[in-house]
Amino acid sequence: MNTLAAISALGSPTFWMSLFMLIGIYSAVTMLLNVEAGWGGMWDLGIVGLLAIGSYTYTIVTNPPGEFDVVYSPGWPVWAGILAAMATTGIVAFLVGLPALRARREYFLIITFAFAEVFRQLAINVRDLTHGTVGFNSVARPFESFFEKDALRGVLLAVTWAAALLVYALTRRISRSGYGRALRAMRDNEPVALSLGIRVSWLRLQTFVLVGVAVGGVAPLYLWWLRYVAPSVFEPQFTFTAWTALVLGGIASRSGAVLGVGVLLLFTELVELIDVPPEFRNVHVAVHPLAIGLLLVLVLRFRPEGLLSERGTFGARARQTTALDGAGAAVASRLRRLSLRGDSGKEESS
Amino acid sequence: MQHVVFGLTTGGVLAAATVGFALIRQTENFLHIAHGQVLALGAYLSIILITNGGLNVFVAGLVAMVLTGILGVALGAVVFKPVADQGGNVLLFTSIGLAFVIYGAIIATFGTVLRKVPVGLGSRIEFSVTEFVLVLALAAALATLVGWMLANRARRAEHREVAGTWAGLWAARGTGLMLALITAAVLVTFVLATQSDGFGTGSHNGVDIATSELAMILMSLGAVLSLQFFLSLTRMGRWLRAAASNPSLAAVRGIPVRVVSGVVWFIGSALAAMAGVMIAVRRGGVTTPLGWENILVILSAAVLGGTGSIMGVMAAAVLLGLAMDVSALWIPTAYRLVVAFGALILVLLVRPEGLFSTRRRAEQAS
Repeated sequence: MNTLAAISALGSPTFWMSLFMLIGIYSAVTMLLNVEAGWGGMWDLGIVGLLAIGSYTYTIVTNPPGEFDVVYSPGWPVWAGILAAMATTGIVAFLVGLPALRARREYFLIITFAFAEVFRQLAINVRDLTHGTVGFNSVARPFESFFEKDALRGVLLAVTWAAALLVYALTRRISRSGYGRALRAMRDNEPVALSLGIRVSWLRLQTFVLVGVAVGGVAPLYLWWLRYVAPSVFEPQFTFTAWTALVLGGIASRSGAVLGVGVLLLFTELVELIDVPPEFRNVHVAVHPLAIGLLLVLVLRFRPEGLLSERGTFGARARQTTALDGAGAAVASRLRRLSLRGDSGKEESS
Repeated sequence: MQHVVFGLTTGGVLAAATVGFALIRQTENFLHIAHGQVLALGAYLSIILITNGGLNVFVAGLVAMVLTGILGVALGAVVFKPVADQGGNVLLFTSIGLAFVIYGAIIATFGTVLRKVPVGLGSRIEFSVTEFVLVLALAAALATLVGWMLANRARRAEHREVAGTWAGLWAARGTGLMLALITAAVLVTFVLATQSDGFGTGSHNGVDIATSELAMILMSLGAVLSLQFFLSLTRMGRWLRAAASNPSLAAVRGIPVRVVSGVVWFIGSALAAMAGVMIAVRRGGVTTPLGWENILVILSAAVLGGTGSIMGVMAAAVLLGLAMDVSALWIPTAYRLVVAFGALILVLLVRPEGLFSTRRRAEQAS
């Protein structure tokens, strides 16, 4: 009976469309995280905070006036909402980045983590604007008047994947540009990067804000999938899911982010689908955190470079341009390990 | 006034949790994110022992501490030891992974519903404001004395020339505790001056404190102080500090580094469990987000305290607890976490090495 229900859900296009939409959204976020953390060396544990800012901005400005009991709901159209979400998130990323990027090593991690939690607490407590812990139970979606319910789902899926592809194209462009090389140089050896004329602190801030704006753009997609907004959505688990996917796929590898998200979400969502008797409900709920945790521990232990490594992304190009491909690869992998180890050997430059 | 009592209790419990975290941070060189989940595990263990085992709360707490401590040793050896060579970030992310594993295990075993602790807070002891301030002042004086003695002991061992002087006192390890308690006294008088109508107590013009709250403050203080004495006076403590400051040299000198690491994991995890039990008793129950809620505050307190001194960490924890609860006079209580993180972010920007770190002074001296 239960198995039958699960199998019938497996056959339903709704489930797969929903799953692929979620994979598209997480892929976009994880690829952006990769630009910031994998290439830029900024280990951000607060990406969910930026997502929260984008989400709340979008919902607040697009909600029809008077539907919710909040002080500000101008009822803007969807496109304006997306632009507003991107702009606000960019500004917030700038404001967070100014102080946070002065901190290095684990302190940056803690500050971003703390900021994300502060935003969530604010979302809970500034009730006049965010509707408190309840949040908003409806989200404005585009094309709602043009399409039927099922068709709309397909359209939104297409939009999501278009956005994910756009992010992929962006990261591909970055990886081949001087900007991307500067990022990686800065990550691997900051004094050398400085001596080469790279304006390190400006580059960091620029990247942080770029990622912020892009995450602000992804936020509405997430809401179209989720169809509600509440503080509980923006718990640290989102950040760590993206991080696990990134580590699993291979930090600093471009396609690794997508692969990692695919593998991780396919597994957790398929498990969610299984219908369990009530006495196993707890175990069922626990599978998601358990999977994230075990994967993270095991991958770091046995394959710290992930499924696809940075060499996969950059090795081929390096071989085209240099004759020392063996040595180059060795140096690259050495650098990779060094950067995974963090800046433990370096002193704070401030 | 009542908020000062709440703040001291919060701070005391936080100190027990943070000191363990700081110990692991010092010797193993990474941020142990799973510490919050270890704390939650301790709380849940004690709850089973009380409700199913029918044990007294103290016995249950002690058993939970020992069990969690043993688990900590196992985790240190099985999970963290194999990746120790790969450095801080890998260890940190392994710890995040472990946090999720423990979190998942807790959900799987106990479910997401509220688990009640069938233990009351005990009868309340009432103080008048004057008595309360006197007690605090006495405690501050006593702590200053102990801090001064400890400071001198430490200083005499390292730099004979400054022992016994105020400069030596100021520069040495007992300073943190002293500062915290002086600050507490200042805060009390300040609050006294502005809000003398007896906040939150209603019926009378004083302060009341539950016996369990008093017990929590005293036990945390006792635990942290005994840890301090353990580190400074015993041979194992010396080994531990040696292994923390230079593990390879310590190994060469014949110090059993693995044993030392095991001791660190045991103490750290057991202290976390102790804090967990206290939080569970204080709140009357626990829910699954317990670990995540606490790890951020623990991180804040540990960073505020800086590296290098147990007393500094403790002082930071007490200050943070006071800040979180005393700020309730002006800011709604819903914002207490925001206050804690705000303090953290501010301190990281102004003084990234922490409030009570000795590192910068050591660098300047050399």
